[in-house]
Amino acid sequence: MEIDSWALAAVVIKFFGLLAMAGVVGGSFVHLLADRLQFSQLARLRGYLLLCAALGMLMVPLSLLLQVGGINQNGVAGMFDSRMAAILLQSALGPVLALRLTALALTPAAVWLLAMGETSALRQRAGYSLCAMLTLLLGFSFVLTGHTTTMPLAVKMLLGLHVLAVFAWIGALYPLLHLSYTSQPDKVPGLMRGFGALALWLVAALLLAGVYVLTQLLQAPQELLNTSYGQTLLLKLAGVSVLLLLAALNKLVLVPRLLVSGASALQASIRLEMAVAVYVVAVTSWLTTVSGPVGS
Amino acid sequence: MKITKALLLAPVLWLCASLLYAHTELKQASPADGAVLNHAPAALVLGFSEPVQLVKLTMVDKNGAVVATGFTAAAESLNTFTIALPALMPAVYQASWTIVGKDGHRVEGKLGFTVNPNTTESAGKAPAKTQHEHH
Repeated sequence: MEIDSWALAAVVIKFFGLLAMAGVVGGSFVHLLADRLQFSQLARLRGYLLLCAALGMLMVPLSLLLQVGGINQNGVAGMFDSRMAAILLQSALGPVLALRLTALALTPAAVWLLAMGETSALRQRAGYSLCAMLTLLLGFSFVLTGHTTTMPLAVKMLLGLHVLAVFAWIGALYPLLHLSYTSQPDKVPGLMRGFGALALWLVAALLLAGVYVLTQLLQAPQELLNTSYGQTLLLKLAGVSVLLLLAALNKLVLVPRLLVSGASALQASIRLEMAVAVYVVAVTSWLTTVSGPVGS
Repeated sequence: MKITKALLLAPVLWLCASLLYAHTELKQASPADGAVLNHAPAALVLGFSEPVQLVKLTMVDKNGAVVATGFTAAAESLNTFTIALPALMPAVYQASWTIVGKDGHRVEGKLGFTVNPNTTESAGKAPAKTQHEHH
């Protein structure tokens, strides 16, 4: 198909939007782990959550404007067609954008509760409950749109689970790297072990849900090689494989050696993991914006 | 162990998977793409595989001159849209449409037909695959 500048812009906006939502989910997750271990850098983590929410709040409306502009094909002015925007908001896009904006707008409230939680256990619980709720809202928004919309509920729920597992994993990488430079190095192995234990479940959920949804999207395995969607998917799977290898290396080799050899090897590995995660998100943005399975 | 079994089962499921996925597409059109008509059609009818929002429809003749149709974008999702056409002069026409499907994705398509009173009529062909942009 012909890729126009609107589609390319939509890929970029989706890329940053996905990273922002991943940051909110993964950041909340690491905040909980670090809070339990009484790290002193929790305020910086909350800053990360706010930054990701702000980026997401910018990307969500931009994605609607680009959709409107792409339909009108009338330059920048065509993006601000309120009538077309109103029409689109009555499609599946409306609830999706509403859910994402609600979740992102609730993030500052969650951050405030978490900050207050340092002195009040009730507020702390309320903060984490709100984080869990906005995480579910973000996951559910992916159930309402995209290639799986017309599929059975179980497949859609699996896609939601897949997205949340990916978000929790890749959104946690930067906060983990940041915490590894702590002035409390004795706490880092506990944090990394805690993340590693939960990551095992995340990876299992990610793989199971991802592979199953894939079986529903592709009619035959040959489509991986014969279609542009399949080939792009292979590029994504290659990135995911590298991520899994790095995660295994971290969990089995680098984390157990933390107290003996220091954190530098693990920090290098997390940086590499972040770079590969950015690549995977970029390919996913392309895959879900300008490419589609056979029959689309 | 359960996870390992499920992972091993996944490729089997994949091999056995029937086609559950189907994207919104144009199922029927009148005039059909490539049709040759002796008489100008009073309307353009587009029928889709599921209820969709028809958000844009433009029609041009072979010189690129825009034909004013009775189309206005609306939020309502329908399977079939009937767009009133003005009295068309003998010429080659191309209609371009954009829909938003149930999944929120944008799908675009084109069809062409000819009005020529001095030739044999032809029914045209079945709708071709459409262009697809997801957002």
